[in-house]
Amino acid sequence: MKEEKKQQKIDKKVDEFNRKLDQLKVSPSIEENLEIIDDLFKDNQIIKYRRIVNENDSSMEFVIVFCEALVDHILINDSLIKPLILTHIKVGKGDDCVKTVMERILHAGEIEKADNFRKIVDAVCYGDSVIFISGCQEALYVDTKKFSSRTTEEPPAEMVLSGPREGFNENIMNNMAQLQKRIRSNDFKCRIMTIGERTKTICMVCYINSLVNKNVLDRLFKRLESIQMDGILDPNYLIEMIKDNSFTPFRVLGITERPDSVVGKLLEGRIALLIDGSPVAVTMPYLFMENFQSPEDYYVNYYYASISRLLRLTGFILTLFAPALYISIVAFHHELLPVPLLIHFAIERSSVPFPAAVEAFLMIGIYELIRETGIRVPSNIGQALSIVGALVIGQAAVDAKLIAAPMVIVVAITALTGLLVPKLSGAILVFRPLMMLLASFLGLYGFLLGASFILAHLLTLRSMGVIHVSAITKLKFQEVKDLYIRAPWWKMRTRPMELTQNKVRMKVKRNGK
Amino acid sequence: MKRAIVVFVLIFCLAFGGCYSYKGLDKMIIVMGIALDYDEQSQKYLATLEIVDIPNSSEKEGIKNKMLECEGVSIPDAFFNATKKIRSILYFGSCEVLIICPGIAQKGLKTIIDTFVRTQELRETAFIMVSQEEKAGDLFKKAKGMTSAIISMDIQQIMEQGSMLSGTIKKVKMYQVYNDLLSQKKCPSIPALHLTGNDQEKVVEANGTAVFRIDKLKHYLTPEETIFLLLAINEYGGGSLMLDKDGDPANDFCILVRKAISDTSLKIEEDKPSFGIDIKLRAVLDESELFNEKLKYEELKQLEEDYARMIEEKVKNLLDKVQKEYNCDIVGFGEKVYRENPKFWEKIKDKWFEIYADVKVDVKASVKITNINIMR
Repeated sequence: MKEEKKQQKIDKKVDEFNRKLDQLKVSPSIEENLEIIDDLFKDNQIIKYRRIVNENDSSMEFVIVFCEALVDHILINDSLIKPLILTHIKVGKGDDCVKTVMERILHAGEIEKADNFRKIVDAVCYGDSVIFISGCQEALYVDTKKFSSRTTEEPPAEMVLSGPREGFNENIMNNMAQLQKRIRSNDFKCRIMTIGERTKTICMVCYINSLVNKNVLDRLFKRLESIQMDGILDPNYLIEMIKDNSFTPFRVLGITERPDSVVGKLLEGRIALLIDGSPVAVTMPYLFMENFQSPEDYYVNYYYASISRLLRLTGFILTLFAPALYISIVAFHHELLPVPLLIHFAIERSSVPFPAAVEAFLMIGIYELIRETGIRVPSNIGQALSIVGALVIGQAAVDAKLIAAPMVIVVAITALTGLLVPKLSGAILVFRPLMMLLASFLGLYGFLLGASFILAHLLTLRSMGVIHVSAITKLKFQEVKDLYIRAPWWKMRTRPMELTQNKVRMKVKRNGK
Repeated sequence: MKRAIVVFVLIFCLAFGGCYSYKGLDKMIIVMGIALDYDEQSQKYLATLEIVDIPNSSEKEGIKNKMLECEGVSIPDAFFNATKKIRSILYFGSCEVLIICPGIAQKGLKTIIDTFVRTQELRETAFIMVSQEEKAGDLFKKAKGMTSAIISMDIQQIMEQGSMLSGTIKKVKMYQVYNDLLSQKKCPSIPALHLTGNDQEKVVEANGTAVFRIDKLKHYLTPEETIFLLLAINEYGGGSLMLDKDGDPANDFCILVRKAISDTSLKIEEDKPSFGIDIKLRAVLDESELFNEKLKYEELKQLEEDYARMIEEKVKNLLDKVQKEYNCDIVGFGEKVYRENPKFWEKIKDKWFEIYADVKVDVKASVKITNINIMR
């Protein structure tokens, strides 16, 4: 009760503050405005102002307010201060003065009017410069933003051998530019939203109007509008808020740092969500088979790409099921092993004190620990780590009769294939131990039980209302051409069915046939 | 709907999950082969189990075998008695070799086949053999493995591969004997094993076929006779066939059979069944009297003809012997009658063995030599 009352009091205060900000109007007196600014930005010393008096008419006074860290000083000097000082144009008093300054004096691209301090505060905090004009009841804010940002680099998590090497960076306008320069069409739409009560982060929803599935788009906007958070720093904040199945460890919305990959998906009718301050773009709807796709698939020979994709699928199945299968065969179903292998396994196992299940949990646990350490550790210590890991896991554990040699092979296969599908690492981390647990109590029965439940769970998943694992139900070539394999480009004549309102990609067959 | 899916999944898993009784690999003794003897005096079964000697086997020294002997008034009793000597459980899942002593074979196969078919772990696809040594256990105890430290693995390989290569081994799996005994329309015939010398050691060798009348051992066929038995029953996998033309070994021919097909046909005339066996061979020439000389087309035709006559004669002789002397229907003529004319079989089944002894069999063979195996 006490807590609640306390919170209510705080809420009231915050509301009052916000209302005050909305009601605070710009006054004709510069001094009054500065007093308010001083009050609002008290203790924030990077907010600066600059007083200007026109050299031809000393009654024309201006004050420019800006946030020192976010602005381009040269731009302010050349396009704001210089024209304001040197101009011969009379500004006058009253409603016209703002219009005159805006249209005839300032040399800036983006200028807007503001009459209350809410707009002004927002503008100053985002690197705009606010100009107060003496005798005017409105102020102007001019876009003078300049942030330093990383250069465009190839994203380390999505390296390709051949193909574009550009990646997004933390500047949303730059990211947007990367998309727009690839799609030179007015059909490419970009809607801007501000999310986060305190961070006021800019989010952009990009799509190609004639291709996008309107239902999915509506659903996305509805979900984005319902978000109430005080700040978002990364797309994952949004992903967890808007995804269909809240508790699934599978990824149901795609993320990428590659503009070429985003454009490819836009052209299939998908939607991209960019967020200021993060190089990661969210793409949706996201199909299960996209976990096994790589942007490189489309830039290399289609035989190579198809086989690689099947390998990735095999890798996922192996890394999820290999330890569980090993446990169930070694502990329950010896008949499945060829006799010579059975004997060798028995010889190896005879000197090990633990049952196969304990052994497997031990080894997989150690591997996960080493893997996690490898990610967290600074890169120059990584080498030492891998040596220790190899020695502990491989040689020493077998020599010390802690584990049997076949287990090392199983762990090695599991670990290696796990790296093949990084997009599914979350799901693998959750479901692998689960499978192992079931297999160690129930053998192949448990194994099949677990596998069936994973499959059933996968089938319930939706991505923005679209069935996540649509691949299973499809039989026609045009519908699976880009799922398990990557068909040659001249065969990909349609777009994925659920994703788009315009299915036909190529009207004419190859060679005009 | 959801409940239906869950029930389906549970049923699916139960049906395809196999048995889920936990057995640690390190806590069991892997039985590779069983040799079964019967002691008339004590009226007890004596089983010699060849097991993998896990404690003494290692990467460097390889796998070793060990014999586990146990006795009991019945076969399961013997196996239970074995567990008194060992700390682990016996695992029969990889046991593919079952050897019975002549004593048991003469007494009758029914009891032991029934027991082994009922044993859960032992596979019905295990090979069954008769020992020509007095004690079947001797095959394990006195012999040494040729290519593998485990004799049973050698025997298994001899059965699998040897039947394809030499043509003198009739491989028989347990379920086939079981089927024969159950249907009572065919007499089982099982390969025989004996010990033979090899480089001052004794090794196991396949040596012809044991012929049974219903379920009792009657006679052993020699390896050469086995060839013609296999040819007659369409189980010949390949091997070489000699042709002795004039008694002089220098002038012998030898062909390598690539493919052999035979077909049995039934004719019933005036309530008397008669059978035809049609054997077709495709072979290449392996050895010839005409060293370095071109074999003329006519000579080759003549050779094919000679071979065909030889095969016809040998198969006829063999069938005569098993019909009249031992009265064992190992070719399965009875089954043939039953399959083609069940009503007729019902009429004659009670006196089948009497009819069988005098049944007329017409053997026809044709040989095609496709290749003389020399580049000209």
